[in-house]
Amino acid sequence: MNNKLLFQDLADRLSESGKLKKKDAEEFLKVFFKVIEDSIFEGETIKIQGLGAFKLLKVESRKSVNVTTGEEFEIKEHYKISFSPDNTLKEIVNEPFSYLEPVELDGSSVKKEPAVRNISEEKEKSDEIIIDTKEKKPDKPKETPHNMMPQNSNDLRTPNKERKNEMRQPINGSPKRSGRSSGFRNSGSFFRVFLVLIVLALAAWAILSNYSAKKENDHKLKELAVIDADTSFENTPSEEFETVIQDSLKLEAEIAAKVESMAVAEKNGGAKKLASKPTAVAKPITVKTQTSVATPKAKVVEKPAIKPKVIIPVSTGTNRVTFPVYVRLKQGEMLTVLSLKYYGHKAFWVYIYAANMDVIKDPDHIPLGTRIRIPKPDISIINANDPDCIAKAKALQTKILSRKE
Amino acid sequence: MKTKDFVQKIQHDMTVNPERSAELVELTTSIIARMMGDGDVLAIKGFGTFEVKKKEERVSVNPVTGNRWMIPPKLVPSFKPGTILKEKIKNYSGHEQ
Repeated sequence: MNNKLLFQDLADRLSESGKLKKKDAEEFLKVFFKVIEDSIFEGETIKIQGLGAFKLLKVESRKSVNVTTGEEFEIKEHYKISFSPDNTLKEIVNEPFSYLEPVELDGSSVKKEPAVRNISEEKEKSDEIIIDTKEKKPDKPKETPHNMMPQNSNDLRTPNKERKNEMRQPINGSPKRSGRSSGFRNSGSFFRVFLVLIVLALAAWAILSNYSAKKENDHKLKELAVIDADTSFENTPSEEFETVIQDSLKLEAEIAAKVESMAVAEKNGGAKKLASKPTAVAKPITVKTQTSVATPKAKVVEKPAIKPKVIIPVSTGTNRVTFPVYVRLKQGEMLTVLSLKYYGHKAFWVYIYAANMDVIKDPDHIPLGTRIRIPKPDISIINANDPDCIAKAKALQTKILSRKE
Repeated sequence: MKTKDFVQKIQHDMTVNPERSAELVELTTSIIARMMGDGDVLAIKGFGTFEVKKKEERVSVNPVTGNRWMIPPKLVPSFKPGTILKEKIKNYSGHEQ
């Protein structure tokens, strides 16, 4: 670990494992690096399998300022070398951390996801409401012709109000946020907290006003609220949820109509509007809590499924591994990668293949997640430092590949 | 330029057993990979240094959905040109085509 190795060490290892004279190994390595150097200066990208790609990148000239004198000066265009490592090399180097995977942060996703979902639900909802109003227009006047004027207008108004109210919230929620977060990324978390506060305040207001309105007025609305609460807590799938909303909206409209017909004075109408508003506001909030409860659960279920991909924690060094090792194939991993990791040379993948004939149909296309057994290497056959072993494995490889064709 | 062409060039330049070039290139890359896998630093005089760098964990935000992801720490192979190569690059003024 963290040894500083020099050209000499590389040459030593090469001469050892390649059964070369030290002098020859050194010569080979000199040529190796010389050729890389020459090719990049010819303006070529040089890709070496198992290592990576070297190339020269042009850096355009740009203006800069001398920090001490404040003078402007020009940085002339120049070149820089770029090395992008091969996937195989990346895998090997990142081996100690290979079991880690990106994790979605729950805290933020709870806040974010419902907002996104609400918009989609919102659209559906508002569509339904529009349909509702269309249906109600022709219906209601027939039933109660004498009440036509006030009722009709009210009927139209209440769903509109609802829609506006509901629309207001998610709009508050997402587009503004995306705009701001692109503007000031740093204040994103503050803003999120702020948003949550707004939502909470709205919820509190809705509940309070709902409560007072209920106290003031009709018992029917109370019933409605109870129904609302019940239904919203019972259902989880969004489809069911939509129908419930639709139903409750209809119910609400009907009850509102009845209340309207009973109370003639305009005061009552105002009160009713007030009463119906909070329920409308309260609804999206219940939606939020519900979805937010549902999403973390789903994640909790997912996570354990992802983590045990690596069954046996494998130590970094190839020597310390206890065989047989069981590995689940991950994205970008091939038998050659496993072979290089555990046996020290990629040619030995044929033996891994041989040990897993029953699960691997086509060694070039192994489904992700396949459980692969890596048997204990027999030193006489599998030895990365013995060219004969590698040659044997390669002969096997050509045999397997030709059989496939 | 791919590995094949690279091997051909080496073959062309080698005086001692050029026929083993392909095998030796493979061996060399796997040795370098193993050295880096062990966390060692490989410094080649006149060329540069191969070393492993640790990238710390970070939080990344999906700009579309706004979801935040914790990206775990990782080890990344890196290459730094040495002084001689740097000097050469500095004096290099583009490939004449």
